[in-house]
Amino acid sequence: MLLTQVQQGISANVSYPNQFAACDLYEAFLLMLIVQAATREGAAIQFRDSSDNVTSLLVLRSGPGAIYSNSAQYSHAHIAFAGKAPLEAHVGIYIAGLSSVVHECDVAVIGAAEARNCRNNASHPDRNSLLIGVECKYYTSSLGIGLIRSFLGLTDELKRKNRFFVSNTGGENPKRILARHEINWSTDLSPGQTNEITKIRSAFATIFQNYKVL
Amino acid sequence: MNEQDIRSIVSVLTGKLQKEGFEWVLEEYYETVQAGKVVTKLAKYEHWNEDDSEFKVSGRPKTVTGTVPLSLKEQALLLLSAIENAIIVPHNVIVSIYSGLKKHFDGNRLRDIVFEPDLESVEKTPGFEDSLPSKMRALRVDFEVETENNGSIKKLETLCVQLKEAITK
Repeated sequence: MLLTQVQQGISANVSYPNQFAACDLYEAFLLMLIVQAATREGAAIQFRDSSDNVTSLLVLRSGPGAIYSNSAQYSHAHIAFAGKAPLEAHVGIYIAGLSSVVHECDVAVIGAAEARNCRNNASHPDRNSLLIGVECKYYTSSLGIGLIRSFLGLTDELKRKNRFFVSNTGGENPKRILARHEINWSTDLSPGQTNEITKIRSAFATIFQNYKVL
Repeated sequence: MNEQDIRSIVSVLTGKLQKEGFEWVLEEYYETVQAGKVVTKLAKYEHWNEDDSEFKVSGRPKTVTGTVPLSLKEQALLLLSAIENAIIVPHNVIVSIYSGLKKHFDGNRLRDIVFEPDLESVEKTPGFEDSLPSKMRALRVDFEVETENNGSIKKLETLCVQLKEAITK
């Protein structure tokens, strides 16, 4: 009886039978947590489009793309702290790394000046302008070690400070590697996990807190 | 719950996921099952003994790492968690995004999220959208429609928890 009901429940809720949709949503969730952290630190938030106009639409990148792309009016969060240069939070943009190779950053907070210059010059933001970088992994079963290895390599390219690895599901081995390498991480981050949300949001808030005074 | 019942649950649910187009969930599930789980244990260690010209156990037991298969029960619980992560958590993510971001939009009028692939460099011939792989297609998530599913999702969530409890007993 119970098994039959679960089967019916699956049939009734086939909304997004696609891994990429789940990943895209998860990145948007992290953008939301960054916006919340900035708000709690006193930032004024506006969502703006690629032309830097305030927008009432939320259009995010599906997969990686260039910050200067005109293929859609992509939204970003404009984050303004009083007396400080504004910041922008983006989803799925390329960042130029140490070796000038570009890497996808799932959720990125960069200086608004750098973002404007990149849009005007058709260039990718530099890793030095990346205040916060978040690698998001959404998996239904468990996280492969290869993903962690890739992320560790990425931190060599994009720096390690204020870079985060977050996932909805983990396992003991990924946790051990991340902890050993002193990476900011959470492998149980999803809406129901209040403690994990609080920890990650607080880590973002601390970065904004420091940004305000430095 | 006996082994035969658990085996039947795994069989029925994997069949259901396949039928409903959740092959990607099954792919991740089987990869995880195939990888097994890592265990550490204390093991006696042999060392080469030159006097006797043979391997002999000596010294303290050493902590070693190995991989063992998941039990049938663990496989069933993993499958139910995969269903939760494929259906329930994405719904909760959408509700959470809406709740967290709507106040930043004029009059809380945030209706949807559109995920648009960056196709600027793709040659756009007529009908090209149909040939794109699924990860390069636009997706629109309507918050109102998603919110209407709250009851149905909550029901499935409860059922998954109950089935997990039944398997664990």
